[in-house]
Amino acid sequence: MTASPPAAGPPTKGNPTSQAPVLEVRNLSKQFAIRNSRKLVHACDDVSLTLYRGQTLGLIGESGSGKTTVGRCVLRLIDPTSGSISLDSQDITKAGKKELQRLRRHMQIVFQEPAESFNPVLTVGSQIELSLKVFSGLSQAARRRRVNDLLDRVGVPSVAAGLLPGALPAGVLQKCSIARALASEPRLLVLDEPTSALAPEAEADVLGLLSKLQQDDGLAYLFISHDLSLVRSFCDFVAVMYLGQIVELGQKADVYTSPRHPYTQALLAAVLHPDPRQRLTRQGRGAELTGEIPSPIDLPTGCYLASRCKYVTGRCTAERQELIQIDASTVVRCWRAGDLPATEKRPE
Amino acid sequence: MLFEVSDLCVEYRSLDEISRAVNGVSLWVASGEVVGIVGESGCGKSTLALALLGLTRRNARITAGSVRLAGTDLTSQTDKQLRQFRGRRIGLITQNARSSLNPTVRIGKQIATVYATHTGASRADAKKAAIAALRLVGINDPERRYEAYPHELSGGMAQRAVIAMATVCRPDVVVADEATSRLDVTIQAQILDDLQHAVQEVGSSLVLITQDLGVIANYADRLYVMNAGEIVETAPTARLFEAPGHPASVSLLESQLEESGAEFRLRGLPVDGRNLPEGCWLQARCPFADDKAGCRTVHPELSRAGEEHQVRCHRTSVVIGRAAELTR
Repeated sequence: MTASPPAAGPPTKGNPTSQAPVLEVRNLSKQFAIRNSRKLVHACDDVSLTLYRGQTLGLIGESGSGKTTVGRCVLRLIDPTSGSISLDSQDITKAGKKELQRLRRHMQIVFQEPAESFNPVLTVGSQIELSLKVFSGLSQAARRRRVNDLLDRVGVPSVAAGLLPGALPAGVLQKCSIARALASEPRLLVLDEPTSALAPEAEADVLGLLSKLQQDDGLAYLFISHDLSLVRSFCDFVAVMYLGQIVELGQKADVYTSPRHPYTQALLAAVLHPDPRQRLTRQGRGAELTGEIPSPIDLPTGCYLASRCKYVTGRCTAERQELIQIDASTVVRCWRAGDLPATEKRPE
Repeated sequence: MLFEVSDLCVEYRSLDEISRAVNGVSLWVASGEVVGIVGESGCGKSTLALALLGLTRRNARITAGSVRLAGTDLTSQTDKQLRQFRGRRIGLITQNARSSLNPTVRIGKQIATVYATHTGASRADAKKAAIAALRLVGINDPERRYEAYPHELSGGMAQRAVIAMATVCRPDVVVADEATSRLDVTIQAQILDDLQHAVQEVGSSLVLITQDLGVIANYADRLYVMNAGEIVETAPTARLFEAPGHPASVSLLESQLEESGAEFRLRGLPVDGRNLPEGCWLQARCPFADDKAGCRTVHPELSRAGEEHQVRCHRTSVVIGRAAELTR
């Protein structure tokens, strides 16, 4: 059985349904070879997702679940092993070097650690300008003006342009890297843990900026994060990854209030709420997973969660799990998704 | 009272400056109790944690106060004497597990060494104790894991090994400084469960130092809130979440509740310990500060705000009233 291509649901933010998606990923897989070995690391496996203008899709999962690999394949920073990637309905899976340089204008990335994504010995302004030099035909004077405009858009005073990255606090520097990403006027931004290196106040600041930019320009965001509450507050759709596969994808409200996949249930049940009235014991946490995560080198034949799942049956260990369409906007990679008991509701 | 800290002060010194990181902290932990210490980054939590074990950095000095463990003042002990306490009577778990482990020695051996050093046990007995400690923190197949090197363990496993090392001698107190904050959520809850289980089994008290109120709400019996190196509020856990009385507590709570704004957030950066202002140290950052209440002129004392509940603020009643909007 082939997985029916799951859509990231109907567009919600004022997009006519007929509009083509900004990003469409189909059955994307990436395996890395291990040196001096014939074995492969299965970093991402059969990932499909769709992202429309003005929408944010959160890609959540624990460390090693393949989130970053998906982000990098989407931008063609690494080449996928199989599957296809389309940007504005154009298949870019096989695009050559020249073509990619032209395409990257439309898709940019913001990394986790701002201090490491800038060259420490060049001024911030010159590094933003470099992007303009590559992607625009502007004169030097015009580029300088544009750098100031870009900094202004992200709320950073223009003096920052003349400073070295080390002179700026992490939150401000992250805004500069957003400015750099915006220089080519992209339609898609991949945000790879953009706030996890920042203090809570700076985090709130950067998220506020990203929301505003999206409202103004209709940017599509692929938001990679391990932080469940952050994704809940920031995204429209959520895709949950486990061992390189998407195990559940749906509208944020559905996934968070009625998670269907046992892994999603366990992930949400593990969150410690800052409220002693919701204190749960080890037993009360219920959906708890047992055991350890299998190695991405020797993956099980059946469901990847089978060895840790409390709902496991013979069929789970025997058959590879495919995505099942639950409703218009939700897909779940579990054949039992329909008949699993609902998760224990926490008091609101 | 098993573990009691009185008026502890710690300063960092450079050539021409003194920064006051811990300022007159008093707290106590009863036998078998789980106590939380929370505060924003830069509030002095970690300096306090190290001072509790007499592990202050070279440029830091304990300038006043005492740390008493079952009657003995640790601050007056020599380094050699302190070694009898560290690991044996008081265990420390830090944020980055891997840096607490020797990368060239098998983890079981490291734990056994701690046990043998403190108890004088034979090699075989130390190995048995280490395996039991690994089992207690939820490591499957501890006999096999005993032989593993730190790099062969996942982050969660390495953190468990460090917990095993901290609990193997059945210490009176275990201090956990952000012990789970770098781990994934599913691992975090499991490890905290295992830590709680381990300290209960060996009969230790637990001090949880963190900025994560989710951890506190789920595991601590009682907590202290720190800001600018001071205890600014203390209460039983349920009481503090119901009726937080200090702006620093409210700010922390608001920043961690879903779908809350930034109405009560402290502004700007942590207070500079080199240059503490007159009056309340938080006045410049505090949305509740008021000239008439004396915030700019009088440094507030800890005062009673309820059963076992003390707050260091001139405007406690106003804060409790307003914070009710948040905690309802």
